Formats: sequence, C-alpha cells, structure tokens
Amino acid sequence: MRRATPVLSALLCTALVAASAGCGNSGSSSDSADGGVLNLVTANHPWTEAVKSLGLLDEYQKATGTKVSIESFAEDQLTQQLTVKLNAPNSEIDVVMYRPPQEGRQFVLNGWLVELADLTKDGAFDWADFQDGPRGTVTIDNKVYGAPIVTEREILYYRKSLLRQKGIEVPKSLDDLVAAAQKLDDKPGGVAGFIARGKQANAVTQFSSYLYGYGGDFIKDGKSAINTPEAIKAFDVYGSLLRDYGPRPADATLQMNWPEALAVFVQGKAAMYTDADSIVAGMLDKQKSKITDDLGFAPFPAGPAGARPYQVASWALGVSAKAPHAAAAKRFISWIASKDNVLKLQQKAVPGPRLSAWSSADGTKGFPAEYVAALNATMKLTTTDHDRPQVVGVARSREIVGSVIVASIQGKDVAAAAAAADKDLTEFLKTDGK
Amino acid sequence: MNRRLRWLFASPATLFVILAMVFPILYTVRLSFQSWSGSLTRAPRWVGLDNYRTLLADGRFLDATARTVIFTVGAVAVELVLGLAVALLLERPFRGRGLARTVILLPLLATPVAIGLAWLLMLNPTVGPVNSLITGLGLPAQPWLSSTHSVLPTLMLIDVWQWTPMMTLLCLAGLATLPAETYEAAAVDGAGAWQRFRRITVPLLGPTMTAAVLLRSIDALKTFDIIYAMTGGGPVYQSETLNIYGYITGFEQFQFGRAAAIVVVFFLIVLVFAIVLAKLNSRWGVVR
Amino acid sequence: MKRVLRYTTIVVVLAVFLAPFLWMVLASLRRHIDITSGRLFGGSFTLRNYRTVFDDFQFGDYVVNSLVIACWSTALSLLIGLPAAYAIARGGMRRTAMTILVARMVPGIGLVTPWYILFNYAGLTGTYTSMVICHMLVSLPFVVWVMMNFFEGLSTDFEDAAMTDGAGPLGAFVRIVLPLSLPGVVTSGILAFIFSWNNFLFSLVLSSKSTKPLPVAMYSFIGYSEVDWGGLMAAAVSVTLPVLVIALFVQRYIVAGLTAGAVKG
Repeated sequence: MRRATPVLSALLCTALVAASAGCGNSGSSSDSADGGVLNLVTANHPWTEAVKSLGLLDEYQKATGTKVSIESFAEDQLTQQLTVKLNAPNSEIDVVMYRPPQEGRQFVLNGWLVELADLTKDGAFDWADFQDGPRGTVTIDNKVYGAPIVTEREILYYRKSLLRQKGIEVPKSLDDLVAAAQKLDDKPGGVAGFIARGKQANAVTQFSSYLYGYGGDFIKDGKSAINTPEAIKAFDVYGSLLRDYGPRPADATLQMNWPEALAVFVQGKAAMYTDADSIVAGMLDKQKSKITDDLGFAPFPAGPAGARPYQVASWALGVSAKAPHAAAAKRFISWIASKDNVLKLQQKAVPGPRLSAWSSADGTKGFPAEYVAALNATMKLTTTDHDRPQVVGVARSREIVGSVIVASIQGKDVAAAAAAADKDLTEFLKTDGK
Repeated sequence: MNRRLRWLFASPATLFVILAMVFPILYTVRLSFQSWSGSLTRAPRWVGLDNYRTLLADGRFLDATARTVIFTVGAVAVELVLGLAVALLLERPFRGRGLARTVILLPLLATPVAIGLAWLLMLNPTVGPVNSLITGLGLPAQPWLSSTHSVLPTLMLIDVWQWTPMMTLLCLAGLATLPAETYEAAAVDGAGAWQRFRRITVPLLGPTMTAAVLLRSIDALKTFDIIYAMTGGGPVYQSETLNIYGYITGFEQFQFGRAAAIVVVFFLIVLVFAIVLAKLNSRWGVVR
Repeated sequence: MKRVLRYTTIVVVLAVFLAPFLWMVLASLRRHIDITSGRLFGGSFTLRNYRTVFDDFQFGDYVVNSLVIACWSTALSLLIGLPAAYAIARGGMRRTAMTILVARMVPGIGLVTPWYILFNYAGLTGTYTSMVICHMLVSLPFVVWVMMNFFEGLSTDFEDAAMTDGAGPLGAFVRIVLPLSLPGVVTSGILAFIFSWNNFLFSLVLSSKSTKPLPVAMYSFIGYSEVDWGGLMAAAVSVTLPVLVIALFVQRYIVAGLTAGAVKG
C-alpha cells in the first residue's frame, strides 16, 4: 500500500491553519503526566501487536502510575491521521510512531517533532547499542528526532539446492552475484537466475545497496549524484540482472514491487532475490511458500566500494512538538526502547534496533539461525543509514531515480537516462522543502 | 405546474448541486494560479500562470493528455462495434435470453476496484493464470501490464470488457424501437441481411448510438479506479491519464497548485465533449 | 448448422464476460500458494480466506460503513431528486436539467481537494455526513436523469383528475404520481445504491478510519502484510457479491434505468 500512503496529509494543514488562527495556540504544556494519561499513536504493525500481547503498557502503568493510551491506524492512513493530529491547535498526542526514511524530513520541516537530546545522552539508554544505520536515519542536521523501534537491512535470499546443484558458492561480491545469476538462470525450466523489484519508485530502496556498493549515492553535498560513473554502473548492473536473468516474459519485472517479486520467489521460480530482511515471514510460512526448507540467507554482496547495504530505522517513536506531557513522553520512550523491552519485542519476531538483542540467544530464537547470522554479519559492516534520497518530497525523488532503473531493465541507453534523470533531480532539489 | 411551484420542487436538488460543485470548481481554478505544498509553515503563494506554463513544457503532461484521448477514443470505438455485434447476436429471442442479459450486466455493475484487482492477478505475467493458459496453448507469454508497450492496450481491453455490455444494452433498447414493417418491406424488395443492416439499422440507430458514444466517452475520459488500482500509471507513466497524473501530482507529490491546473485543463477537455453532446442534443433531441 | 453457430457464439461471448468472476470466486477458495502456481485447479479448497477477511481484517465494519453511506445517499438523493425530476419533466426546465447533468461531467479529482477544506470548516471531516454528501453528487444526477425520463413517459391524465378533485399539486405528486412511478423509483434507487457502493475516488480521499467503505478497505488489503491473493479475492467477492445478487433479481429494472434517456421510446 505504499502507493496511496500520503493521501491528503498536506491538505489538512491549510484548513487547520485557518481554524487555529481563531483559536490561538495552546503552547504551554504542563508536565505532570505521571499518574496521568500519555497518548500514543501507532501503526497497525507487528510492533504494536507485540507491545499489546506482551502487556507492556500495563507493566508500565504498574511501575510508574502513568497510563498509556494507544490509538492505532492502518499504515496507509497513519500519515494522514498524524498530519491532522499533529497540526491540531490543541493536540493531545504525546508520542507518535513514524517512518523516518519516508516522512521524517517532512515532519521535522513542519515542526512537528522535538529533538531527543536528553535520551541520547542518557547512559542507561545506551545510544551506542543501537545499530549505526538506524541512528543515522533518525538524525537530521545532527539532531536526533526519534528512537528506532523497527529496523531493516537489505540481504540476499537464495535457494540452497539450486546453488549446490551448479556448484556455486554463495555470492560475496556483486560480480559473483552477476556470474551466479547467469549460471543459475534456467529459462526453459522456468526458473529465473535472479529477481528483485523492478517497479519504478518501489525499486529505488532495494537498488540503493547496489548504488552504495559501487561507491555512489543519490545526493552528494546537496547535489544530484545519479549521473556519476559509479551510479551509472550500479543502474546498469541492477537493470541487466533483471533483464538478462530475471523472470520471463521480458519486462515482467517492471510492475513488480516486493509482494509480486516475493510471490515468484516463494513459488520456486527464481534462484536469488535481494530485498529487505523484513519480508522473511512470507518465505517461512508453509501456507504461503514452497521453498521453506530450501532457503539460504547471506549478507548483501560487496561492490568495488565494499559491502555498504542500507540499514535503516523503518519505524521510530518521536515526541510531538505540541505534546501536553513532553517529559513523560520521553521517559516512556526511553523505557519502551530500553534493552530489556527491545529484547522482549524481538522475541515476538519484531526485528529490533539494538545490537545487544541480536547478539543474545534469547533475542534471536524466533528466527532461522542462518538468517540471524546474515543479519549479524550485516551489522558489522559499514552500513548506510538511508535507503532512498534524503529529501522532503520523497515520492517525487523516487520516481526520478526509478526512471533510470526502468530504462536499464528495458535495455535502453542508461547513460542517457541517467543524464535526463540527473537534470530532473537537480531541478527538484532546487524547490524541495522550500 | 406554475413557475413558483416548479422552482420549489427543483430548488433543493439544484441548490445542492450548485453548492457541492460551484465552490469546488471556483476553488480549484484559484488554486491553479497558486503554488502550495500544503505545509503548515507556508501558505499558498500566488504564482500567476506559472503552473500552466510549467505544464506546457512538461512532456509527461502532454503525453498524459494524448494518452487520455487515445484511451477514450480507442476503447469507445471498439466498445461501439462489439456492443452492436453482441446486441444483434442477442436480439432475436432464444432460450436463456434473460440469463444472458443478466450475465452481460455483471461487468457493468461489479465494483471496479474489485474487478481491477482480479484482472491484475489474472494478468500477472509470471504466476498468473492467463499466461499459464496462453503458454499451455503453445503461445508466448505476454507481459500485459508490465511492458510500456502493452500496458495501455491491456487497460483498454479491460475497459472494453467492462463497458461493451453498456453499448449492447443501449443497442438492444434501440433495436426494440425499430419498426418491424420496414424490415419486412425491405426483405420483400429483395434486400439482403447486410443491406438491411446498412440501410435501415444503422441510420435508425444513429441518434441512440451517438448519445451512447458521447456519454460513454465522458466516463471513459474520467476512468480512474481501474487504472489506479492496477498500474498506478506505470510502468514509467505509460498508463498515466490526466486523472491519474492530477491525483499523483496533488496527493502523492503535494503540488496542489500544479494539480489544480491539470484538473482545469482536464475539465476543459471534458467540457468540449459535453458541448458536442449539447449540440447534437439540440439537433437530434436524443438526450432530453 | 446456423443455429449451432449462433448458440456457440453466444456461449463464448457470455463466457468471456463471466470468466473473471468465476476465477475470482475460485481463487477466493484456494490457498495463496496454489493460486500462484499458475494451475487453474489443484490444491485443496478452503474457507480460510473468508475467515481472514472477516475476522482478522474486520471486513464486517466496512460492510456497515458502505451500507450506511449508500443507504443514506440514496434516500436523500431520491428525496430531493424526485421532485426536481418531476418539475423538469412537467415544466421543461432545460437549464436546471443541464446544471444537474453537468455534475456527471466534472472530474471527481477536481472536487475532492476543495471538499476536504469545506468539510474541515464545517467540522465534518471523518464523519458519515461528509461521505454521504459526496456520494450524493454521484447518485443525485443519476436519479434526476432516470426519473425525468420516466415522468415524461407518464400520462398526465391521473394528475389532472386528482387536481380537479381538489388535490393540490403536491398532493397529486405524492399520492398519485409517486405510486404510479414506483418501478422508476426502484430502478433509480437501486442504481444510485450500486454507484455509491462502488465509489472509490471520493472514498479514497475523504473517508477516515471509521467511515472507510468497502472498496477502499479492500484496496488497503494489498500490502497489509503482503499480497495474499486468496484473501484479496475473498475480499473482492465479498464486495461484489451484494451487487451481483441485486443484478440477478432486478435485471429488468436495471436495464431500463441504464438505458433511460438514450432511446426515444
């Protein structure tokens, strides 16, 4: 549902500006929530389910006397609901769950989130225990605005039996990946050597690790960097992998987001697949997958610039700028994102942000051992803290970058497409967030 | 009915339509001269004709305009021909005619989003049943909605599937009003089936068909549900019509001023069709 | 021979129109993994998908939303649309007729933004009221369109007789004209209901969590966790079924309504 996500969020603002002009701003915030009520808005996400099923909120109330009231929305409606609620003149929201890579910059630009400096300085909270990528994701202009709660990395999924049959080692580098895809590709047998997202905007996040591996990035020093030789090489490799060794018929991947790619992979119709580690559940469920016993996991292969896959905070908790109980909100976040609770949540199969949880046996019980090994190996790498351009207008920027990916899959002139997209991105950056 | 009473009867509906339409249209026109990203920190800014100027230089907009017209004209033309053919097929009584009419009603009435998603899964190029069927028959698998070349024709095909029944129903209703004597007389005069069709059916059905085509065209121009649910305008904008482009520009990219300009242009295009409709209306009196 | 050919053609044509529905129902009864195997049959049948849709996804709530919105917008459209159609039919108000019909032509995408702002000022965002109002803009023109054609075809004798007997025009309309027009009212009512039930664009932008109708709920079913084809098709069947059942029972009325005005009878 990524497509319909931002429905109307922006619209609300003006209407509310007008409405609030009459009411004035209730800026003063009393701070006596202990013994009171703290309002938390979340997405309908496994994290929220796990918090509820573990009874963490009751536990918090017993310990501190603060009742945490939770209101959750479908993912695609959360942005819209947050926009309404964070804009309202007398907002009652204290803590919000949001997606830092997608909407973090927009929220900060609009002045909806406060900096969480006290939290990161708190020794007991142990900010250094968080993976470095996610720490970067929630940091904008050197200020931390959120506490990561769910994290995501790109990894390589593969079919063990197919690699074994052909005597192929698990690819360690992107060159290995291309060579393996070529050997594994079995067009007459209906098994593609490789699969990944090919749908314009959706492919961008999973393409990003390739880009970083070749030493590129979307934007460097505030300027478009998608027309550099590194970027062109990455576009070329990603596109030709899908064009030459991807599923048939030609162009079949152009409308593939992860659910479509996953459907092909779990049917056993592709040998290797690079995507986010968070989609693993669909491969392990026998009701949905034919390859549960044949599944291999590996860290994302290294490029000439090293293995630099993205590792981001896909979800974080932030404190509303209008929170009636800001201090209590921060106390709650430091508790729910503490080592103990992250460990508990991770046992409910929510991939957490803390290194300590991933290195403990308890924290990894819910996952296959090889998957945990691949993830831990990823966490030791110099990961990248973003998986899409770091801009306010994320949707448009993804469209621009995605146009080159599609051109490459179609076998068109990549350099020309990159030059055209570079022009668009440069133009876009001039007005973005202004 | 006297004048006052007429107004009394008609005023609630008229007032409602004016309130629910006139304000939005005026607001949209105003917004099309502004730049507004919808942010709390920045109110709309007056930019004059900038949005329109940007659109004229925007290849994506021009393509979407052309595509909207191609989609409409192409789909409606096929629907007209097929609709008439199916109507002639179903015209004469046969056992199960009522059931047949019910069946052709289904595509018209079924929820478009549901239908769109069913087609989307069926046409999935790698694991969908349509390609399995095709390859089973020894034909090459097709990319359908995935290829920049075939996405628009595929969407037109689905539109044809959905709306041909409308043409059929209108043709059947029209055929029912044609005088049987004329046909008999023509048959006596030795006119063959094809001649009877060309010289009697087509001219007599003309007004009905014209009205049908124009009403259908206005709806086809505005097609949103199916395209949005199936492709979202992709791949690479190749199924992006003005309606979809306007939606994306506003609600996904937060450029409400430019989106408003797109809507205004779009509305003008629809209006052209509407004026043609009104003109034909006064000539033939087909739509009262 | 000719007859065989004709029947064969009819069957093939009907099969084409029917096939997607059959596949939809079939898929809704199979497991995701079996549907995506590409084989039309095979695997076991299951009702699990429907349980997913109604238990886990609470489709029942959305059914209620859709019903509330469709019923109210239909009822209100009839309430103000019937007198208007009557006035147009009997009084020849061409300009009024055109105004109402232009509502059919305005692209919906141009209405939703201003509406949102209007609803916000009125404090109606996220309420059933706002949904009913925007759905009425779909159903009202339709009611007027169908009914003005219907009233025009109705003889004025009965009204004249009633009025000679001393009934006022309003009395004649309510007591004589409406009962006589019941088939037309049923037709336009059913179609208005179906169009509201199917509406996607207005609902997509303007509905909130508590007023979200079925088509939008169904669309959000994609990627809720991942695309579960079986569940998605179970949702599609649940959305479409009520409409198809209506179509089966009142086929004749619907055809009359859809073709109203396009044919001079």
